[in-house]
Amino acid sequence: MPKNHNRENHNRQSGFSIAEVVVAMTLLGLIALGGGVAVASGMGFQRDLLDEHQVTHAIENQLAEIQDIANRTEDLVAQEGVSALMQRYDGQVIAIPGVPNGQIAITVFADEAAVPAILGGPQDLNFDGDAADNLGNESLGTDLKLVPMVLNVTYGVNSENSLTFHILTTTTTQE
Amino acid sequence: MKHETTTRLRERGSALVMVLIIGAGILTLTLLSVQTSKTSAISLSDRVDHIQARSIAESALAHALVMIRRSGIEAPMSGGGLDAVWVPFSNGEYLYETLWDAANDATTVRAWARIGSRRALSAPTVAPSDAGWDSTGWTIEGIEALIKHDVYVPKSSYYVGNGGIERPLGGFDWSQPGVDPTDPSTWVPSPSASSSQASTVPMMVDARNYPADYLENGGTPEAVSVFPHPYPIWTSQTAIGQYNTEAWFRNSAGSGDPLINVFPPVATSYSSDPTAPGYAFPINPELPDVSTYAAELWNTVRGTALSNELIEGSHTGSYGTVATPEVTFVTGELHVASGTTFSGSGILVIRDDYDPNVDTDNTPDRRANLVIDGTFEWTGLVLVTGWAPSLQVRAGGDGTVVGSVLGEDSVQSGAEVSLDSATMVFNIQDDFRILWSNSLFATSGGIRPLLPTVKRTLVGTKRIWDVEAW
Repeated sequence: MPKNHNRENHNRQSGFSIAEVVVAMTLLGLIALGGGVAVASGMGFQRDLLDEHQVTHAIENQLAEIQDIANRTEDLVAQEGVSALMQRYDGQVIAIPGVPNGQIAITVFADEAAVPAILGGPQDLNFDGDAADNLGNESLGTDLKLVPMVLNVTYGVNSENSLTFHILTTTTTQE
Repeated sequence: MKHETTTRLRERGSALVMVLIIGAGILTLTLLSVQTSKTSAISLSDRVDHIQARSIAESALAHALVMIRRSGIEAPMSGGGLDAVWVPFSNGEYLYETLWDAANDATTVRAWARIGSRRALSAPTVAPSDAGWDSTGWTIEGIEALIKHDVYVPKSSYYVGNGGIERPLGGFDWSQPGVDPTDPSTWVPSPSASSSQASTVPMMVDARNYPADYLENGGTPEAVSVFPHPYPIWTSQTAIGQYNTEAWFRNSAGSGDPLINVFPPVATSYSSDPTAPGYAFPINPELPDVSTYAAELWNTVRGTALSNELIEGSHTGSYGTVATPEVTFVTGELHVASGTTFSGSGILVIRDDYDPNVDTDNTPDRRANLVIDGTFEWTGLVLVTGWAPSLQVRAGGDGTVVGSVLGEDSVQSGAEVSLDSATMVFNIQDDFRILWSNSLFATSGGIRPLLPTVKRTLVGTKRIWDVEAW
């Protein structure tokens, strides 16, 4: 009897109770679910961050390229120099590789009277003493000495993210 | 029994404890990951702010540079007033201030940008370099640029822009299709001469150094040193311009000694090969456009006490003296009528009236011509520039310039100068002399202070602040 009693006791002590297992599994499940959701969300977030990093690199490169082109010797055939910025960039949409729907859309404002307020409003862009010339009409912006530009960056699966850069560009080398 | 009960109680619930420990671990890792992501996101957001702020600062610098270069303003301030103010731009504001160092003819520009961050903003009206600046809440970027201003000092008695003299006998017509000014193999000989001079009185160009007061007191030019001579006889911006100018001197006066009135005399030590070291008439690609030179004067000197302004037509009288030189503008043709004298000292600017904002036909109503039937005497610099400019000395006329003559055909389209066929017509039928005078240009006196700035060099830029102030 003592022997049997002991075996019974031992059997009852080993393993977990059903309730314990159920509670543990439930908790583990909830934790795993929460963790999974968090990891998935975090990965998505990290992916977005990576995209944003690529976008910022792309916009920095684009801004640097525009300044480089502005600083080159005037050459309308090769589309180099300040006078070629409008012909080269206005209306251009430049893709950002590796970023879903990533693109930089560039607009040049060559009508002195219609420069948006966010770019300083109407102003003298060819420095002839007035702010009334539409320099984009006949000369395709070749008379521009100060070039107002907007770089609109969009990216994301649904192009839901955007950044906008406003710049005034001129040559920073000697003339 | 007591021991068994304790053991059993201790064993029961251990799974829960393990699950909770695992859960806590996962939760901790998740929170750390989230925190890292948040930090990365904030860092990235800050970086975007800085890129935008830098773009704004660079835009401010661009604005300051064009104000200096195009408007002739030596020390522009943002906002256009005497003190720099913050100007709204993009998603922030910019402020630039300039310091003009007159002694060294240099300008320092400080361009700032600020973008409001996520906290409450201070509202300073001064620049970040000012003691009163409060950076609370702002992302700041700043650029400092040093700009050196250079005047063009004439280096020769006679300078005719890109194309030289318009189609002299034996010269080239570079306006023909397919002509590349830099490639002599494409040049086309002029079918006929547009510029001419009388064989009996060929134009005299003397590159010796005459006294500045030569017209008033006479005197003797400095002796010419051995080759190479210190001052070229003429200069131009392109090889075809050099050739045409040389052709003018060599051929236009007809037979005989073609260079009889060119000093120092062309000798064997000179070479007519532009690629040879001894080439007499060196090409200087750094020379400015004459039109730009004249426009700079028009923008900076016109209306001041040092300037005179004449409309086209016949004029007589004296404008400026050697002791007090002046800048005299003539819009249109300056005619020195027979029996009259036009004289002066300083810079004489003969220009056309073409306004690219109004005119579209590239043809001015008043053209830049200097027509001499009487006596013309000028000490200093004579500029003739515009659409199809000309210099004519008719029979009976007599002209002398002590200093230098700069001429160029150019059409201003906006602020841009077109130099596609930048030549000048010369028609010299009676005495005309250009006598170089280095004394006028090289010293601080004379007309040196009147010479306009033609080149502004951005010596360098540096980032002067990169602070996110919060």
